[in-house]
Amino acid sequence: MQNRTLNQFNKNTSAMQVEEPVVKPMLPWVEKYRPNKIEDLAYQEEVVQSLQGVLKTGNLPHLLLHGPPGTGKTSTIIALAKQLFGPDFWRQRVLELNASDDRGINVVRNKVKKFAEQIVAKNPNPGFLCPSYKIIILDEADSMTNDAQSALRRIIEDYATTTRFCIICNYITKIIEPLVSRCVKYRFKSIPENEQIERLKFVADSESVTYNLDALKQLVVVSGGDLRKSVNMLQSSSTLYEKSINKKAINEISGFIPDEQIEDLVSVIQTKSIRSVQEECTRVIQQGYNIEQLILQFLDVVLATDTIKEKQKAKMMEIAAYTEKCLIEGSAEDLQIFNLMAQCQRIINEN
Amino acid sequence: MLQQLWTESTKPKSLDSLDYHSEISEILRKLAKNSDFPHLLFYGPNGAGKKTRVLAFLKEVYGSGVYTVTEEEKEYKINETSNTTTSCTVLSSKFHIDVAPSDADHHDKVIIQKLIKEVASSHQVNSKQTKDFKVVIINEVDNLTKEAQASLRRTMEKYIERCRIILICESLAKIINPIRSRCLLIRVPAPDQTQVAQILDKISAQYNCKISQQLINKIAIASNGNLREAILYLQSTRVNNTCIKDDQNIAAQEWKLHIQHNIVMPIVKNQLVETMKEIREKFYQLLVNCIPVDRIMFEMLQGVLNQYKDHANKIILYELIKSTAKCENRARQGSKGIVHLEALAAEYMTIIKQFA
Repeated sequence: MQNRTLNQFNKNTSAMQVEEPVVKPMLPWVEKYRPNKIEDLAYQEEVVQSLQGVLKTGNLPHLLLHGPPGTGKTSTIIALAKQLFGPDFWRQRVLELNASDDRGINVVRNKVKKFAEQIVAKNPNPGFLCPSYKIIILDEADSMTNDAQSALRRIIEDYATTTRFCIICNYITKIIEPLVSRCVKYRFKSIPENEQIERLKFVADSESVTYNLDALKQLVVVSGGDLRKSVNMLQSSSTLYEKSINKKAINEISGFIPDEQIEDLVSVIQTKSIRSVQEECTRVIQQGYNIEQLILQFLDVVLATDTIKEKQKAKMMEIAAYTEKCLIEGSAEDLQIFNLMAQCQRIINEN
Repeated sequence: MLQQLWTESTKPKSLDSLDYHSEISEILRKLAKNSDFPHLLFYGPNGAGKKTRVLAFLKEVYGSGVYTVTEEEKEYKINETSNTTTSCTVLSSKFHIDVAPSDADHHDKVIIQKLIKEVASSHQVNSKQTKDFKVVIINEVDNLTKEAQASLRRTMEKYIERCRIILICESLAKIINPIRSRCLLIRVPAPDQTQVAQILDKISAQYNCKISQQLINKIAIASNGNLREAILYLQSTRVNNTCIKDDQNIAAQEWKLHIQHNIVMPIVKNQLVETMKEIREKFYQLLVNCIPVDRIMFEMLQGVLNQYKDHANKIILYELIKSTAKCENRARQGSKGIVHLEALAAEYMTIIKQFA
């Protein structure tokens, strides 16, 4: 958070020099509508409940928040800090480090340790609980090296009286065991569709964007439970289409592949001609679609097709999984997609 | 007059002069008009015109000043203690900077962290005339390491007020999800054959080269939707013969013919150890000419598929495709291309022996 305070400092000085009211730049909606209280948090009831206990007693254990992206992990801890220390004061008590900061072993040894060592007074801010410790947030901790994580082990224990740690990550398996065992773990669940729609409705209404329910539903589908992604998409589609969004607009900007294209692919693998498979694949590649997305949607349509037998579907899914692995490793897209489609055709024609 | 590459001299410089994908130009125009836009991520196949569109868009936002660029080499220390530095070439105008951090290989993370923070944390001078923010164009994002991409995540959010990032990549699959969710995605598909042919027509008229419609169509087909390649073919065909014949071969396509004649044919004709020895040299010739391994494999596959397209037993075709995909993936993970090319040739021979 030090960086953020620094930013504000810069902004103030520049405003003085220009001697002109600086127009407030567009804030991303995800930042604008970040919940300020943990009660406002969407869906994560268990987490909210136990953290409300913390707010009453001021007794905060080390936290480990994990779960898929866009479920409110960073929002939770920031909201908690705000409520604990007060909205003006919390920046001084919180150090936020994320993957954009250098977090090698040296940083842990110097910066983190120095911050952790400081002793703070209890309750300098009337009206808030403001207990006598600071919070260090290690965001996106799954990208920290194991060395840096091991260096944290002892620091966490030694300075527990003055500093509480909050480790945030997507994959708990990437955090070394000794760190995991020192923290209280909270798992954040993917946010279900109706909760997301409620939240999106709230944002759209406050920004006076006109929408229909179909569009919001499609937003949730393409974002796959990632609330940040859907809010971001809502914002970019509303700037593009002048404050009114519909299903087509959402498809356009999300990289969702049109259903007709996928259906073409599925029908072509049910023919016998390899040449037409090849032509269709070339066309897909030239359209520049996101291949990962293509495989996902392709499997969806294949699963829903009744003319393909269950056993064939199973085999096709295995090949799709293999292709996805190859693509992640950086293989040539045209070749791999061609292989996937050709093998699917073979499976269908075998029986 | 200095001979210039036609790909550069005929590049459209504004949104209005772009030849195809008018719907994308329309979106970009709207974004530019708003005077404020989110981070953008352009993706699409090679030679579809991503970079051209980015620059045209910036021109719409900032005016023609974006085309006066200076080039400099920036050096960054990898960390505070050691003296090793990493460097990357930066193209910068008054309004934007243009980098390809993937040049620095596995030190790309340092460049992202230092350079972008440096740009983002410095103010635009004289913000009355221009926008409040600068633009950073990052090329070839798909070649960035995962760590570098991760370090971009928070930077993108933190500095959004003063710095907009435009990312350009070929395949979206290699971009980590958190980055995708922070950008407005813009897909730039390859132009289709008629569009390529129209542009070639226009250029050949401009440079006054007498070329038949037939050859233009041939080039358009051979370019496979890659406009840059198509224009280069056109120019190299022109350089080779001052008067262009209809039936001449397209110059840059020779390596493809080389593969068909010297590699695919021997494999199909006799599957012997001697053939392997013979084609090894041909493989080396291709590799020396810097032709990517995956393209060689793709051409080989095209060749063999063509040879057996009417074969009664369809399984042979599926097997050929499967083995090509397998070898290509292995070649990507490994480092010596020649080993994998030979493995593929051997696989082809086995399959042909077994099924044909």
